[in-house]
Amino acid sequence: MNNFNRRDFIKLMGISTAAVATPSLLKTASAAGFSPRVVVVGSGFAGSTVAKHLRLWSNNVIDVTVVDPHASHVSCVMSNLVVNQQLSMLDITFQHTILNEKYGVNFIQSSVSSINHDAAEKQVFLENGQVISCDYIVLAPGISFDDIPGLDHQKVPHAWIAGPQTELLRDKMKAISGGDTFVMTIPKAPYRCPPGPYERACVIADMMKKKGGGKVIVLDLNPKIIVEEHMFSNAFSEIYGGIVEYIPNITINSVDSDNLIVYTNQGKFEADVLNVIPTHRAGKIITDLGFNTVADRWADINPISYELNDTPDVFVIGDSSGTSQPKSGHMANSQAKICADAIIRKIANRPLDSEERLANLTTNSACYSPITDKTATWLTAGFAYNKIEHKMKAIPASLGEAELHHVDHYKDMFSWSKNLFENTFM
Amino acid sequence: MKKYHFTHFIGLIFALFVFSQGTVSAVTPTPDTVRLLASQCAQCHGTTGNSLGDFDSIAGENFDELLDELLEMKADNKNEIMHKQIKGYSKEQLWFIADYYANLPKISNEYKKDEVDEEDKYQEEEEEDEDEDEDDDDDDDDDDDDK
Repeated sequence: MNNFNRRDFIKLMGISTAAVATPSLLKTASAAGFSPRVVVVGSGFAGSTVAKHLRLWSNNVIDVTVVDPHASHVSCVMSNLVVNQQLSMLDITFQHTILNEKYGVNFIQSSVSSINHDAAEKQVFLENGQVISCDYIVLAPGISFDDIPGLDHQKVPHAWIAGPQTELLRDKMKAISGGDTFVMTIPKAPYRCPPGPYERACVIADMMKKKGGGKVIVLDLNPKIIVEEHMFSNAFSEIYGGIVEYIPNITINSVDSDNLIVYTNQGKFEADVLNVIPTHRAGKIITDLGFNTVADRWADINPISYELNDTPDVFVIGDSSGTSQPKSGHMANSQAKICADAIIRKIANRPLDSEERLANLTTNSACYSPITDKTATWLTAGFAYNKIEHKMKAIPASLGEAELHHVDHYKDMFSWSKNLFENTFM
Repeated sequence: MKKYHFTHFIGLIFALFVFSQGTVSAVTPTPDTVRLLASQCAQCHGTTGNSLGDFDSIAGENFDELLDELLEMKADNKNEIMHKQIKGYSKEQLWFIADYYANLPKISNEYKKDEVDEEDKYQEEEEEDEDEDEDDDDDDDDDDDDK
């Protein structure tokens, strides 16, 4: 079990024998004398993708254990279609048993209480009392929220971490009546899924329209619509004119969760349904464990590997990471692949910063947003590693968005999400 | 198979000549770098290049046709998602991506439709028994570089 022999090494590389026949590489591997073990904390888009690809690309040589407090992952992607009941919770829920059965990814349902990462052999201490020893740790804990005085998420859902919160918002929207007021707040950028809050406003406005009218007040902590500005401002003023009121440059002072009132720098707003999405930061475990952060919010990582800059062999991927890239499930999947490749190279003692690797390091994000119950838009961006700036830089020619919302884009949204879910969770 | 690889070998040399001004570039990706590069298409085209939705399946497609299509889209400024995505890659990178997917096995549409319709696939309950019978057999590698 602990013998990392030549046969395993060749399997690990999964590439031609010519590349692995080099004596020095083999010597290093066998001298290392360990069986590579990776623990992944968090089983969302980032965690699941990295776990799957570590197994897939190492031909099952690497032992991978995913730890998450939930038995399944509920996707934020497509979750606004659960809010409007076009989809069910089952459509966006992915059991961890799939990766276990298909790729042998181990899964432990528990939170992490602490990590000992100082030694070469790391230890992950779980809330359930277990201690897992490993060689590499990938943290993919998603997002956590800034505190807002008076905010109770059970009465004022964010529905920005999918699961029970999604159901809560869906149920509140089942109960809302025509003529009622829906108030939502949009967090300060950067946040998870740039078009998402504006998409939600559209989906909610569409629901209110069908109920005979009402108001959707969109309180944006940003100075303007931060993405697909033309599309969403057109949606707010034309498609949902008379329903949506968009107010930028908001700061939130407090929330009265019992009476559903949000107090801001531009006055108080009373709601029949209140949806506050607080400003984000990395999943709590990042700061709880004392890792360095960028802007006090995001894990400080190396974009060529997602390894923490101050902690070797510990990686942070997905929304928690501090990068120049947007935060989304699609992007988390993209980053996770770079991380999996980096870990495999580290194990096999191959350079992460070879010219050929850095010249071909790319990620991409793509996203479809429903605008009505039949139409959607799309948004896309490609990134490549820029050696001079040491970051993933957006490639201007690859940035694009739909000119119009359309039924074809709505249909494509399902093609995109089906494949994204398969690539990530299956 | 041998003939296919010989043709590709010639193509590779040609590609490197055309795109690297006559020298084998230091940035020519190694097989694992190609695998990583190509894996960034999987979010929309599926892990194995066999798409579950209506987006094209790209596994096992004819290399020349695939590359032609990618290069056409790269040259076309149409405002469409794939036309935009492709602008993020160099011609050399597209060569390697096309080669990677052309070499992957195509799975028939029939099989793929079954996967899509089978909701149980991703809604099944956690299993009671936890046998860990790991088949350690050398299953089909996705090695694509016998060059």
